[in-house]
Amino acid sequence: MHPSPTTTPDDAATTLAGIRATREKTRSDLCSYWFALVLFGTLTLLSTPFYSMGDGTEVGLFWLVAAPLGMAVMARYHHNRDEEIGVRPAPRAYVITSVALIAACFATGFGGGLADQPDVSSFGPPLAIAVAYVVFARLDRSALLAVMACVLGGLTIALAVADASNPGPILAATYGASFLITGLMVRRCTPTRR
Amino acid sequence: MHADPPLTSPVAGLDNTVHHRVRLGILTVLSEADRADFGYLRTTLELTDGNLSSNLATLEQAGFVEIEKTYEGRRPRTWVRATAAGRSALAAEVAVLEAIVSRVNGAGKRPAP
Repeated sequence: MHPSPTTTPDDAATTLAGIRATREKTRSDLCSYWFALVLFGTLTLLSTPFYSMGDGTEVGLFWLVAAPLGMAVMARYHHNRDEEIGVRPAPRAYVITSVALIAACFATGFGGGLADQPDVSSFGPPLAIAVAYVVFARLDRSALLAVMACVLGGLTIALAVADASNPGPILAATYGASFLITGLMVRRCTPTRR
Repeated sequence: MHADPPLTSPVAGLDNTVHHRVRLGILTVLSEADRADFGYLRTTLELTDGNLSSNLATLEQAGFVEIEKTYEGRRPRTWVRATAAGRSALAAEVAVLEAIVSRVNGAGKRPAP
């Protein structure tokens, strides 16, 4: 039989500090969102020229291929990384947010085009991305990601309010560069291989 | 005269199984993740194989963790995940520890009568 547990306030404070340190270490090991930022930042930059072409069909087709492909590459990367490091984050919230993001992007992008609402098709997808990244920032407890998402969301709203003509290339270049730079900045939080 | 409340009462809320340094560490790692393997827990918590095994067995017996043994090719691999009961037990343990610390802090801050 176990003896009754006893603890002094100093013991309790020390134990709580140990729990906090262990949490931080595990969160640091789980931190891998840089890869998604670099991957989708690169894809977004590659999509920039398509925003200057035609009626938006080209950019829609680009993302119809690039989005599922990017998701598949990301899923593969996370699977391999989790197996290698030996710890896996709870994936449900990330999957739900990603699926909702893709649905919102295609609904506003294609839906706005079909309904002849160019503002919805121009500003809907980037706004959905900014909102999704606020959720990702919450999931990853990343202040940097939250700031990036809020700045990009603010820029999108500002361009919408200013009624900017053909905002696609500006938004794609800004979003792509922001993702890429932020991703490379947080790359260092990834643990080294065991 | 103002009598201080006893400082020992929250201790009654501590769980024998969870209130152990190693088992607290295991549950803390698992509460942040979906699952972790034996090697990750051993390295992160700086334990020996035997120490980790015996504490995992205790947690499994209490229903706080689930252990899954798999094979990667010919290499065995052990994955561990916290159950809902394990997560609740850790949260309760942390709440009790925080109550103990805050009681002392509260007593220290109380103005003199």
